[in-house]
Amino acid sequence: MKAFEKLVDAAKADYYPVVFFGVFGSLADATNRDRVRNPFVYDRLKDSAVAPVLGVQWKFNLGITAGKVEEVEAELGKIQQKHALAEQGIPFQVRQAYLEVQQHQANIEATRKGFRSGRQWLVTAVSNFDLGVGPGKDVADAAVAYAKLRAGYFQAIYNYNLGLVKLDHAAGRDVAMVQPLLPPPPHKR
Amino acid sequence: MHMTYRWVGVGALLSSLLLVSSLSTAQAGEPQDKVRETVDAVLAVLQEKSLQGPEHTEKRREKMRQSVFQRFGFEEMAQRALGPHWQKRTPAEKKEFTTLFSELLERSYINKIESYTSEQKVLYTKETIEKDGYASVRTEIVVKRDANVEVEYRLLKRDGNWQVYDVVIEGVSLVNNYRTQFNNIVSQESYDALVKKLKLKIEQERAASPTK
Repeated sequence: MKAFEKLVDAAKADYYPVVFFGVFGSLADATNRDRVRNPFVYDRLKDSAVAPVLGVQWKFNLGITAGKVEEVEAELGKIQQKHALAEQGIPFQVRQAYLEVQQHQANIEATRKGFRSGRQWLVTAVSNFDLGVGPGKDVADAAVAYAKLRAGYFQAIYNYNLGLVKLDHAAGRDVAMVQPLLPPPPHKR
Repeated sequence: MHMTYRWVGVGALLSSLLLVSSLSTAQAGEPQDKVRETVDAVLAVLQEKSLQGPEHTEKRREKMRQSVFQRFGFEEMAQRALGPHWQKRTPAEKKEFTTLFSELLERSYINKIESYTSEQKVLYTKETIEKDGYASVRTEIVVKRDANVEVEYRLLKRDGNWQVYDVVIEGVSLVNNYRTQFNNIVSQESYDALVKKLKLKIEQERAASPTK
């Protein structure tokens, strides 16, 4: 945005004349010519001169400068609008990321209970099968359910950790600074 | 799945025998000491080089059995597992049932015990001693790449000796589970049908294991 502000200033500068001052000097001494000491005769190949120069440059381009200024101001306006929109959106993104983290936290607790239940089912099925009072099919069914529930539980933990990273990104703060603001996840209590 | 079988088998009765090392988070009382003694004894058998290898399987299992049988009250477990049907049995039937029950538990889990790895450790997390001669020792089996397994040993002091009468794995009491199963079979079929199932399972185990 600062770059475009400078561009606007540069475009507006063309409205004003450029005044310059300089010193002009010349020294020439050709070997095959005679020096003429008549002040009204100037031989550029055999003479020396020093003179101050004051000049003014002013562009008269019939509205082209105005057009350029308006073009750059329009670009600056676009950048300023984008900046304002981004600033308005940040609180929304942070809140959204925070709510997602809370949801993932709740999912961890729910899947943890399912995971434990799956384990209990497997323990029961294997114990019964080992004593010959339960069918092998029960063990297979319990093992499949356990595997699925276990995967769901660890997926929930993964999603929670990913949510923390997104919250960090949205808030622009380090994860270590964000995490103390949240209650500890259920599986670590 | 294989890992699940492993810890389930150990935890059911002889889970303490998976240990490579055990850590206590608090000063241990007598029940915890007794459990730990059994663990260390079985561990010593498993690590004994002269007993390793398939040719020493029966000798190795016999030594483990001696250590385990000192700590586990199989008759008490069998009585609790049979529940209300125990009182109706004759002394001979009670003896037969206890023998079948003990043998099945020992057979079913000894293979899993022997397959323990040095990556698994047990933490002794809590010990509770009640005034009426009951106690419980809570442990956690630390498993890599999976959640810890909670195993609780329930003990009863009889004739000055602490004996395990139940093992609770992840909240599932084995004695209660067996009681439910045995009650269903006895109620829907008969006690003889239950005994027949247990004997059939032992025959299958013996057929699958060439050492016995």
